[in-house]
Amino acid sequence: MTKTADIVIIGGGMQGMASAYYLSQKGLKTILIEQGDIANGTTSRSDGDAFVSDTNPGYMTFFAKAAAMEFDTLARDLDCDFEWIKRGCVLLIENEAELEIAKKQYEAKRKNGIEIRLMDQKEVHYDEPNTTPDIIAGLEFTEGGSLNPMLLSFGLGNAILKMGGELRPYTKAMGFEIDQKGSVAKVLTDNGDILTDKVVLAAGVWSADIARLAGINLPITAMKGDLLVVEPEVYITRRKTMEFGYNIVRNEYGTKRSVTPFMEAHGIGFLIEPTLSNNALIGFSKYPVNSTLSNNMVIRAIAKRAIRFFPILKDMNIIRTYSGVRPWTPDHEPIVSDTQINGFYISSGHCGNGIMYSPFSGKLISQMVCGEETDIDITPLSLSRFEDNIKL
Amino acid sequence: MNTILQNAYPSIEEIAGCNCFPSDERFLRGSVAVIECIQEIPCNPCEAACKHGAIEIGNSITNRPVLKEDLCTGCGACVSKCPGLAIFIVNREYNEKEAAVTFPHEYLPLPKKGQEVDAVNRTGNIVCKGIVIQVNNSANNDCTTVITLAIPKEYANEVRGMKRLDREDAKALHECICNKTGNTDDTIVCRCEEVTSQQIKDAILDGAVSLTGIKRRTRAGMGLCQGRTCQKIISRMLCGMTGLTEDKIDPDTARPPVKPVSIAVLGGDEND
Repeated sequence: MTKTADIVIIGGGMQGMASAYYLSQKGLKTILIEQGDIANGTTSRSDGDAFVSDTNPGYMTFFAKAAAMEFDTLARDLDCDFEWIKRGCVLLIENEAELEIAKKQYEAKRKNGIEIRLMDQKEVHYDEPNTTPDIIAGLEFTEGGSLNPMLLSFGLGNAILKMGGELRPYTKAMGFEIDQKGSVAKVLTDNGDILTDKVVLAAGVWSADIARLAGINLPITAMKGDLLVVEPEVYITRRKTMEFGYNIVRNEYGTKRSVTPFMEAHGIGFLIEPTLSNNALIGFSKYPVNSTLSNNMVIRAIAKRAIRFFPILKDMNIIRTYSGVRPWTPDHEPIVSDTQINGFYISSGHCGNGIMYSPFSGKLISQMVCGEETDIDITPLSLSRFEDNIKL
Repeated sequence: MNTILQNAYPSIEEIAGCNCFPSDERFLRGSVAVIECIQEIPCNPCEAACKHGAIEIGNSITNRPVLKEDLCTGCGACVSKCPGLAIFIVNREYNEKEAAVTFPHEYLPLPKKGQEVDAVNRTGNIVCKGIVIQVNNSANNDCTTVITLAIPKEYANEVRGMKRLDREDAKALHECICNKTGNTDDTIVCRCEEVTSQQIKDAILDGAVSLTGIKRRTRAGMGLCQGRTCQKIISRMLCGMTGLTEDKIDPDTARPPVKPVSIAVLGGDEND
């Protein structure tokens, strides 16, 4: 039986495109299948940033820093301007309780080699004069930046094609054929079958459904987020600015912020990110709903929270809102792993940091598939950490 | 009640009620301007357009125009100058059986002289056939084409336009327009984000088969107007290049709010 492809990548978002890119670089004949258009799912509904500000100190911070640095390499290697701008970010601290957590993070992350700075009240207001006066401190990350994930996906796509890979948009994975030895033999799609002995599942929120077709139980669920787009040509901040509470919400520290019960239940907080298109994005929310329709009540709550941090926003207009679903895992860390099926790999569940993690995850997957030593130990990201969840 | 506020077009009663309709005696003398401007809009280009002093607005700009029918020669200079497209030239005495109605027509493609077209009334419904006797595209009209139709006399008070022609030849037409303007590909299609025709074409060649696909590649439709201006043009370009028919092209994802809303309004106290 002749193979059609050395490896099939399922998913045409950032994870899939990055995986296919690095695998093609290794000389593998890759075919990428995607149920819609390239960059059609969460990739196009993200805020497109790569900051090391919201990981827990330790392993994931090392991972994030290495991931953020991959964009420099891509910006150099790809024939595509994906609007990669490194301007760092600032986290605004509301009260003493947050300051305590922030101080601990500052110490721990500094030891992890992160360029981080604790700013006092005066400095914060000098740095971002539009901030509301009662912000007591700030945490500055000078590394990291923002990018346009859609342009990067298309850029990776062109590079994949140049290396002899194949992209098949509007092609849906319908099942897998596993041989007697427990190895991948075939990927079934609604557009013809593909003979291959390796598969990378990088379908984000849709990964769990697809993995189930191969008998793998993936603990990935949808975590919705909403964003507001501010009218262009207004100056609000110099760079990405968000409430320190984001860390509390994302990593579920349990500390209570002074927000309404509705805001608490929907994980609503503040971030603002100026984009290269002269718009600014305002977020954020985090609640377990699988829908990309904007929720009016959530949008209103985000607006309210935004005014609390930047009163100047009151006079500005929202031209658009959009929502996406993050692929969430029980411990908020990604799954970059092999599985009990030979040749079946997973790069998914990157929670709220999928754009940042994608090139690095793709690189790690390519190293794992080729049996090379990975740039960083990836056993902490193995699917087997959720052993209780896995039923054959 | 049939009013312009309800229907977006004036009723015969409303037009008659504004004392601007030429008298039957004046109609007997041939072409005359019929000004169907019934609202007190702050607007007066018609007054300056008439070289014969036949249209008067007066000191208050919200006055309705008054036609001095004896001064009107029916020359039609005012037709293209009315921003509301509310002025017509009617000649009930065009010949024994037919009247001639002149109206502004801002749709492409344009009809040809001698062509038979569907004549429509103020509501846009077809009332009879008409023969195009003039297509006036003079520089003075400033890109508003003025068309004159010959129609059966009995419809002279009713016919106020013609049915828009099918765009079966839209591609050829597009090329014709492009040849006229020269630089096709620098033509800006999405004005908010300044996306050119060439960028849209490149996105389609790159594999975009939907409005969303083009948007993600170029930002077309992501600006202040949220694609209201360019979506139609882009879907036509998509049809032309991919061979898809327009009904196969899904509209872009609608994203609230419908128009820009201030953050203060959104962040009000309602949701506590």
